[in-house]
Amino acid sequence: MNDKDNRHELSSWVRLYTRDMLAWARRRTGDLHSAEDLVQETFLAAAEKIDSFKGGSQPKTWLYGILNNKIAEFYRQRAAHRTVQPEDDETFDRMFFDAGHWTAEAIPGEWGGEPEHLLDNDDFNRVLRECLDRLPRHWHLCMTMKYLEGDGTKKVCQDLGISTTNYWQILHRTKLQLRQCLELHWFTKQ
Amino acid sequence: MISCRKATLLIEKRDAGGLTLAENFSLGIHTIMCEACKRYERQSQLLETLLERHTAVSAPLPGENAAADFLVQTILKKIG
Repeated sequence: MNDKDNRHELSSWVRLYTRDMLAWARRRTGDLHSAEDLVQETFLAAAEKIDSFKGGSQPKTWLYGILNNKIAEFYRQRAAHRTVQPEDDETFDRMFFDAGHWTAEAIPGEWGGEPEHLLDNDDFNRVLRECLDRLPRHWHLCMTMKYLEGDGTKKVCQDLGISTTNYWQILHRTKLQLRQCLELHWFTKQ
Repeated sequence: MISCRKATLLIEKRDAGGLTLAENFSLGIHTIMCEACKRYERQSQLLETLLERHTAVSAPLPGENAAADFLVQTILKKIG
């Protein structure tokens, strides 16, 4: 296939797959801007390698392969910033616990209502998104990957370059903060 | 007995992959006796369900569609 045909084929893939790839990358990187860069880099890399693609897998599979490699690289580059520092322990935990017990401000209250329909509620979704946005970026990322990755803890830790202990700590703090945020902004107002 | 802080950590660990027999036992004893952590456990379970579905939902987030359209044009220009 000559160069012009290659470009034509690639252009059709850009039109077909960009939107889904952007959504995929957005969920895995936590922000739209990073996702845009990664999708763009993916297609530029595909343009260079297109001759080697011939007759192999489906275009979509091939493109996602390139994209996932770039997402993995994205994680590795940020690995250094993700370790929970020991001094963070004290500060954060004191917001919730005093000598291991719930503080008066943080103790979970009763949540009424019918939780089954919450995700169909636009107002709730908005509050949930706002609470998620308040999380430190790498906590949000850690949590997102927990639900997205079918492969489990080991793979998530590998991709993020953190220990399992660190992973539990991050998820722990994330859940504590989220629960409190939702109680404050939703469940106690119902 | 383990602290509430430890109990909430074990709940998280259980959701993400599993506890040792000893940890499971300690957590069980604690939540039987502690109302606050019993509530936390219920709420944490609810959050697990919500977050799983929220993460899986494929609907684009605000601004994403416009960004995708613009990105398509940008990329098409770059690959020529």
